[in-house]
Amino acid sequence: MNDHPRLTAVFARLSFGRTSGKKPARKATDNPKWEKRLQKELMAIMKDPPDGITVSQDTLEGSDLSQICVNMTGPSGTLYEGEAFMLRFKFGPKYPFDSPEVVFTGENIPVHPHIYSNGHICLSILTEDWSPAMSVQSVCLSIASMLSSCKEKKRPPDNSFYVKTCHKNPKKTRWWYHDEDV
Amino acid sequence: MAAWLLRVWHWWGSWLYWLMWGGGSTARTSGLPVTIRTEQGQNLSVHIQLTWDMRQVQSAVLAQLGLPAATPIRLILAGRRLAPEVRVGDCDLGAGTTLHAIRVLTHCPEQADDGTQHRPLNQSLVDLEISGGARTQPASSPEAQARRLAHFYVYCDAPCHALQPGKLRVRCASCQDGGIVLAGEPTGWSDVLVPDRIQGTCNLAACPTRGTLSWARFYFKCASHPASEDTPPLYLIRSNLYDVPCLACLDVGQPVVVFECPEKHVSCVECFQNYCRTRLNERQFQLHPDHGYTLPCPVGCADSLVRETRHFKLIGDHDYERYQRFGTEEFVLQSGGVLCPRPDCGMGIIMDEPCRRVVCENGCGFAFCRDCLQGYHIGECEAQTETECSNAAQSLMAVGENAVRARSDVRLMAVGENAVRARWVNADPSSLAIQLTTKPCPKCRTPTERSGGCMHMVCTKAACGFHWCWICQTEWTRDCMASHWFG
Repeated sequence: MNDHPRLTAVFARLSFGRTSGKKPARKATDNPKWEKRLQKELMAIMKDPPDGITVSQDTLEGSDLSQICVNMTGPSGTLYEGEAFMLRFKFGPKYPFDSPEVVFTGENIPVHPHIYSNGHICLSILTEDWSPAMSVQSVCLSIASMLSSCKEKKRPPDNSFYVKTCHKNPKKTRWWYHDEDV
Repeated sequence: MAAWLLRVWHWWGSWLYWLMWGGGSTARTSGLPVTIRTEQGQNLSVHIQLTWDMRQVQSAVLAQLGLPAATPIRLILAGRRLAPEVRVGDCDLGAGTTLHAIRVLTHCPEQADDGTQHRPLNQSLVDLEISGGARTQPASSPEAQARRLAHFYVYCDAPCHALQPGKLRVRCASCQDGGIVLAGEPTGWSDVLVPDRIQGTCNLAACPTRGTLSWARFYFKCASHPASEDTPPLYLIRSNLYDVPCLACLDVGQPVVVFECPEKHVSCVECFQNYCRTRLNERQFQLHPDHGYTLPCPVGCADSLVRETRHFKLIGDHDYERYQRFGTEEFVLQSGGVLCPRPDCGMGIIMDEPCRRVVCENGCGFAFCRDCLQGYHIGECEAQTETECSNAAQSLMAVGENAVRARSDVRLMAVGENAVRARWVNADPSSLAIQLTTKPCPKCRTPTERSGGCMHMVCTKAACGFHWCWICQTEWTRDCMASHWFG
């Protein structure tokens, strides 16, 4: 995995602090703090990928960390087994104090009572229960667990209305979390 | 990288210090100027060398006092008798530090000689929260040893304007002088912060408690310049003894903020500043009756509010000013007061008596109606609909177009839409926009915009969080859900 160009770049950037300034041209401090944190998170995912979760090729090859995509496969033994999904994370400069904007994107949006057909996810940790101690990985795992506990594939009851009227950023929606068990 | 630079600077700084204060050349007659205070209250200025031990300091003091070299005296710093073998460089002495020199009286019973009494306070007090086991473990390297010294941090208002290492000092509660020897050792922050927890023996001749036990008062000073004022410590700021990574940026910072939740979450100082600024911009600070306008641990743990709001000075003067203003506004509103509605005034007013007429006495002098926040008037708030009257509290009101058209305080001859624009009050585009696009939270009156979704609104204001219905403008009920949840 180390020979991947993007990851090598990440490694190179992060190791400056320790190689006591032999290459002073680019310092680790050139990156905004949120980006450094995100790089560390991505490295952790690459090194030790959680089940069914990989960072997309485009993200690894691109230079913009403000938007990343994560591939997720439906957890085995669940209604979504074998399905492939893609999550899009958008980060602002206030990350991790401000939560990332997370939506399902691509052709296959999981049919789930808490996931709207436009990809918006009704999950409290993405808005008011977010804490800076959470990460891309913990968000992915929460979403995977939300999928796993689903007993019946269906859209939320207000799907068609919501999709027509909502803001394109799900963080602008004040979600009302009706139940915790799906 | 920054930490490395800091270390280099530290090293360079201490080397420079060593050079300046006599380590470099024994031929120099000058040294570290300290003040020696005797039990009679007399002050002497003595120059000492960092390489000296206390025996040499004693000789210098005795010579200056004109006393025989064999006179037994004790040197006291920060509540500790300094043993003769303690080196000057191992105490956190700075230029202008006051040491107390007390003559030992022959009939005076010797105090407990358990060794710790003879070490300077900064050496025997490793960071106050370290558990007993870790305290007694020998430090492996000189660097580890240095890191195990007590580190305290203060926010120095002037001249530093910054987070600085602090020095812990102690004085006698009766005579306010530092000639006190502690009888016990503080074992935690509470021993240091709460008065009357640790006793000591005051040695000053003039002290009424001389010879008996009196309470010790701990205080802190900025260590970066001599003769600094007392400064409250920022006790959440600690040396990162165990290299704990910051919960937000995952870097190992130095020093760090350790929150008071059971997990003791750690954030670096920079992330703490970002956290505070983000929360401040969203007005998400909480007003606590005892601790003031404050924040919990960023993870959101229970019982983790920052109890000393001086920590928020770290966000810088500009933001701290905003912090104070927001906090005051919150306090005024929660105490049943009002904010003066005049633009650029905003003075907080808490009324002594329940009167509808409020005068902005210490501010702009404007007299206004407590209920509608318009200029004061006799009689009912003028022919506004009931809701509108209450909405007006923030001089931001909107109950849809019809209500705006129905206003009769518009004395201009205009009808319909034009009447809205022809108003002098709130004529600026932004307040007009707020009027037209928002509804107030029925509980706290915060103007609220609904940009999509269902009719169930949850107030975003930190202290409110009220669940209300966009259509009924009252509390959200099952009936709302049944009849017009989605419009």
